[in-house]
Amino acid sequence: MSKGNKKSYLLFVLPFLMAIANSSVSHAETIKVCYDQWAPMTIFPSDKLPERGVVIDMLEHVYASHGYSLDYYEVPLARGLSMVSEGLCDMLPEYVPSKRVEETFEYATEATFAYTTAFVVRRDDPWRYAGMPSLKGKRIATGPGWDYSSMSVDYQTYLDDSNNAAFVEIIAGNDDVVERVMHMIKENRVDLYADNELVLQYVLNRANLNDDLIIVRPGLENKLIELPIFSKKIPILKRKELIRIWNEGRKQMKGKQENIFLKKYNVQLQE
Amino acid sequence: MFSSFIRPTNLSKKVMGVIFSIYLGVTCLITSAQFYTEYLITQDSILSELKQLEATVIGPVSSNLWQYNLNQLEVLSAGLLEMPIIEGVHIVDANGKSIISKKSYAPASIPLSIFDVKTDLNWVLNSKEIYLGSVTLYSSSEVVLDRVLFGFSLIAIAAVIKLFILFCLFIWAFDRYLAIPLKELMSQVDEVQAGKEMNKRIHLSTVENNELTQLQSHMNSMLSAMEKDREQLLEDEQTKRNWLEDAVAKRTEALQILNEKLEKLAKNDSLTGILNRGSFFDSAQHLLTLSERQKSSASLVLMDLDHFKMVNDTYGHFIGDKVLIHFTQTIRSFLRESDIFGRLGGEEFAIFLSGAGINEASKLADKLRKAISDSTLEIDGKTVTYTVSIGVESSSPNDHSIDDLFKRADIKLYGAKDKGRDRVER
Repeated sequence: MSKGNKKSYLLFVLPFLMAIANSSVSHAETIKVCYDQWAPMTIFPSDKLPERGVVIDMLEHVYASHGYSLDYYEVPLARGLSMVSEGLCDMLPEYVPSKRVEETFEYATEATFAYTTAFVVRRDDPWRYAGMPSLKGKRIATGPGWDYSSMSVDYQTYLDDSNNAAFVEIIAGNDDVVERVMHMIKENRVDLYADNELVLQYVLNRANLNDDLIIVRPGLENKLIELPIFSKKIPILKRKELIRIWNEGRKQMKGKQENIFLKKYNVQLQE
Repeated sequence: MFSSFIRPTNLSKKVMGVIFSIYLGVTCLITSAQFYTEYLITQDSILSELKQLEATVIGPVSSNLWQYNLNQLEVLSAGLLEMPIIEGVHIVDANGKSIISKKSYAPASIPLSIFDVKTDLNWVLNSKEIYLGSVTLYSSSEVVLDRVLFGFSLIAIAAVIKLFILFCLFIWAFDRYLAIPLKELMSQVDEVQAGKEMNKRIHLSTVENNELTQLQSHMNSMLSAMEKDREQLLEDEQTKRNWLEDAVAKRTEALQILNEKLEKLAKNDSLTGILNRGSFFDSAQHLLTLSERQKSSASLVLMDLDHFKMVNDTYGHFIGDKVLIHFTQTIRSFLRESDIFGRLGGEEFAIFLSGAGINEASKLADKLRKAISDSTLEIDGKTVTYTVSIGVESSSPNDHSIDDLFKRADIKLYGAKDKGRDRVER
């Protein structure tokens, strides 16, 4: 799934945006971070769950060590991109690489994550992905507008093909889509769903469905790679500095530190 | 005034009250039926709208139920509840578990009645229908009443206006065609009853040929018959009265005659027809008193037939009676109208002479004696002669009682008897 093109239905805080609309781009010690909700990578905190997700924790870790503080703006992805483009936010932590948007953003070179894609099926379902023919007769769940083309062009083509409409269930909603999909799989309403493995782990744990469902591999052929983007409204030197800090910091946390962050959310990367 | 309206004593008010009550009752009944019909029609309409609405939302509801999109179901249900005709939404899953149960009314203000439409939710998968549950939409009497309130108001206002107008028209018509003519009729009946003119008749001002004019005609016929009967009765009464007056007059006359006869019988001697002893003394006393008051003289002539017992013994009492009658008639022929002549008993007679002194009385007595002694009486071939002895006495100023005068005249009469009879002693 491509998060870069994912439509978000979350409400954004318009009054708050109005307040910051006229503010100048900050180049000082505070970094304004726009992000959308994509648990467990980025999470809007609540009174019950104050955590902001693995990726935000990583950002904090990277930039705090260089004396930066971070201001967060929880917005839908499209609004976040717009705000970064206009300079209202300095950066957005994850976005799929695309040449079309490079005029207004600048990508870091070090990916946030290269996510492995997996499928979730009923625990008693022996089905495993073995290329497109293995999808025959299976009902697939997906979100409206969700794009898997960077991971598998054929898979996305299959979903988009109107001849397969009877086997493709498009689930609309907010941040509850994945969890509902899992309940649908459990109830035989659909058969399988493909997503970032961390997402699948996180939601399965949250919905307490590990006894009924199972994450299976192989997933889709390619990994989902996402990079932080930085606003080109930031003066180039400063922007380069921020990108450098990220690139270096992300490299340094690979391995043990990275696992610590993942473990905090009860997920882990599977190779 | 209200109590007089509730329990009127007036017939017309009572009739109006009864008719008004009946009309009011019928109007209320019809209006209630209209209300009820309007209510049922509106309820059917709302049920139909609920079904249409349910048909509209059943797709999204099924889809969201299929995809476990409870947030969307909540939003959808909230949107449905915002609709004026929906009072409640209830969605249950295939196991009968309640997914959504929303009501727009507070538990403390439950509507009078709740009605609903329920539809099963299915999902087609691989040409096979999978039962997902059901959705029930509720509406209530309050929704119906809200919708029909305007219609109800129009019906109620129309009913009140119709009631008012018709009642006014009824009062006018009742007054115009019945109450006023009846009042006029009663007034004229009172006039006819109070009046003494028998030829007076009822003439109503209304000219319609209806029951009242027929009643007028019948009453006038009755009055004519009564007048005729009354005239006949008066005539009969007058005839009876005249007959009665005649009868009374005749009876009175007969009584007067009888009274006179009785009086005469009481005063006069039955044989001779002159005054009897009592009447003679009464009259003589009266005249004596009058003479005393007038200081004029009066005389009493006392007569007794001589040997009258021998006449009776010789000729019988019949002849004796004839002798007495003859004597009376002979004496009467010598007397004035003012003289009183009476039989004192048997063959004894007396004459009271007002304004006559002893000389005049003596001369008259002698004439009487001579006339008797000269007379000859022929009865049944028998010749009877007889004489009379007479005592004459005149009154003195000291004579207040006729008895005193009588005693002195009696003494003179016995003197005449003693001196040989057929003579006058004074």
